[in-house]
Amino acid sequence: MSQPNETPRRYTPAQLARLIEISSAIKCECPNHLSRIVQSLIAFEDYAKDCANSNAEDARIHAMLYAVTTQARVLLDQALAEVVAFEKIEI
Amino acid sequence: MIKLAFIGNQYRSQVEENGKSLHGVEVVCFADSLSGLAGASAQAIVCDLRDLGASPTNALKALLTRPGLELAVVTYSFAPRQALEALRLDPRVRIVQGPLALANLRAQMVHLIVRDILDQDAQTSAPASHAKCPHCGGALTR
Repeated sequence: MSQPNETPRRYTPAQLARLIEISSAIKCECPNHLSRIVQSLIAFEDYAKDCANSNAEDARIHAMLYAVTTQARVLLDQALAEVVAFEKIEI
Repeated sequence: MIKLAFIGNQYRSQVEENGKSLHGVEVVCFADSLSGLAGASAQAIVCDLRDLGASPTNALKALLTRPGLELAVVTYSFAPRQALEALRLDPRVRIVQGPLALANLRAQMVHLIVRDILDQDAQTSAPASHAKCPHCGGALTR
């Protein structure tokens, strides 16, 4: 599997950090939890991308991990955006 | 109040949003790098593993020589286990997987906060140790 292109990130690190702490009007903590998940997925994207490869098979596995993590992050980015809009959170 | 310094801007937005989560803690600075801490007097420091550079163990050893520093919380997201084990070289170091909410970060330094509260309490109640017994006039000790 070839190394995929970087998929744009919807939120900046500062926005995700704010969302970890934010209190919503209805006391729902989903924005806090989702922002932590997105931050972790971003960190794992970077980790998988930079992980050492000792051979071509290693490189293929890491490229697969990067691609799958990116797909997951994009989905969670979208979910977080919907929650932020629903909760009328300004970031 | 415990004096806390952050290295990097990772937690700046969180402190701006919800600084009250760090009650008992005074944030003295957000330094851009380890060298940016030069003038800051802190009992606790929070940094990310990446802020410790290419030789994290040496950077941490140097950090721990700072006078008054009692705790270094090193956060990381994903890192090789060996790299983390090498950092557990001192009881003043805590290695914690992030991202952390401020309340969880505060929990890492609660021993310092409790000690600070007890110290303050001892200071405010110290005059009582010089109080005299209303019956015999002898000194009362705690």
